[in-house]
Amino acid sequence: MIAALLFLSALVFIPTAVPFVNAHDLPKTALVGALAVAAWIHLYIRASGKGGSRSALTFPLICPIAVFIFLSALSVINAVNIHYFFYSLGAMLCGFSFFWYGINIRAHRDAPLLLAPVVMVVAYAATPWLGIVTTFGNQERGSAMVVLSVGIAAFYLVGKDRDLTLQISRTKRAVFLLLCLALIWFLYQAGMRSAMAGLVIGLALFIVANAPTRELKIMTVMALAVVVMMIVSSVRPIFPSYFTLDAERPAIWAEALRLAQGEPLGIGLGQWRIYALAWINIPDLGAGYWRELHNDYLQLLVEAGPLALAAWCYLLWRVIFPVPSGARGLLAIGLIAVTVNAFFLFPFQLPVEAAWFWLVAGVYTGTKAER
Amino acid sequence: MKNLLIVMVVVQSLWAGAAVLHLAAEWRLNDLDAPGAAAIYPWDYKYGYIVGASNVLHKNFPDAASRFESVLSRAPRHVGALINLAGVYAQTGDKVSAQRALIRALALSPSDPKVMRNLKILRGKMAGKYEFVMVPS
Repeated sequence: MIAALLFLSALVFIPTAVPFVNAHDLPKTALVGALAVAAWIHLYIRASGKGGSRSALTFPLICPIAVFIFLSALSVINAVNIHYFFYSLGAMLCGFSFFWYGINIRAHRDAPLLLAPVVMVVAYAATPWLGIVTTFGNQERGSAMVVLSVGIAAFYLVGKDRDLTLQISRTKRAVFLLLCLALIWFLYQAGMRSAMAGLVIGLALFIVANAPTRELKIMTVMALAVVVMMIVSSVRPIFPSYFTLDAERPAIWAEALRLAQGEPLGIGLGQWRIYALAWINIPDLGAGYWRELHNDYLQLLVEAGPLALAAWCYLLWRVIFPVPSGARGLLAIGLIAVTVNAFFLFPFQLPVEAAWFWLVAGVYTGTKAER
Repeated sequence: MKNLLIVMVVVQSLWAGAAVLHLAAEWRLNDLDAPGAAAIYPWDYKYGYIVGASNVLHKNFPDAASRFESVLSRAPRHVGALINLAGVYAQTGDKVSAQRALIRALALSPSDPKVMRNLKILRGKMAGKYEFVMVPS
């Protein structure tokens, strides 16, 4: 039931997906926080269940996660606004809650639950062609959700086998590739360049993990690259300009790097939004308020220092790699796409998207551990 | 194990509680009740800033100054609050404090055009007539 709520809750964040219920315009943090509490209560009930219902809980990667949290928490020394520090720390813990929950619920055994993300992808995909692209909301949110849904949707296609160690059949693999290409196309149309690049990279790594020979690995990746280039170049005459960055990003990043050099322990978690307030009127930096740095790794470097960033990268590496072959590797595509997306946007700063990432990462890690 | 789970339930509940309060404050703000939002969720500088800007419009300068000071205690680099605070001081005749606030803003953001403009005005380049640029909330 809770797992169903967890998956279905994503739908109410998307306009047009669920009639009469639209949490799109509301702060979603409260709902995600409530679900995180529910997840922990559910795990507690499972841990204290009697007789046959009792099952052991596992918390893999608890040491690297604890080290990362400790290193991040050290930045409290420099935090100007303690409230934002604790808020960011709480959001981080919320993400890890969903990670461990994803591992322990074994969601992949209940494949119908995964139908919801498929509906979500359809709802997302339908929005631009229905002429309501403005209700898409925030591209940052959309890109993170879509790339995560890709993995889950494809996972659903093969997850019905209930045996995740199976190799995927050719038909299913073809369906999966088509689905991914369709979503790459959609991300391109919606202007989500970094998410599109992330999806391509995720797909390429999945193909490499699944191709039986080295030659086939290279050939399929090259073929994928060619297909993507053909799709993009054939429809967009302004192809070169598509790969330009907004002028503000490099300028803001340079400011952030200058800030990071003077603070080995960081300026404090959640403090970037306070620091960025000094530049709201500077034309070179966009003359606007960049509440997020639009590069989650750089933001972590600024806020918590290089050690925390190293711990974070190590953690992501341990969660995602090696990408297993067969059905289990499908979820990695979305995860890789989000981590690439985080170089230009801020999926880990958005509680809903971060919770989704860690929930999927939990299911993925849980399936990797099963043999 | 069970103790750890209980700790996590408590920690997550605290965070979720803060998120619910924030949600309630946003709802108040949706109803154009910024003071109500600030009362529900005083830790977010945003609400205090909006109330301060509103007080400026209503020429309630003492309350506006205290609001902007409160914002700056939570967000010391808030250039908008510093500019508006300087404006409030200037309106009440406290030119020294106004200049101090603008110099503080200039130290944070040396090329800020609004700060430089207001500082020029304050230093008498417009014959004592103050026309401060206010930063909208």
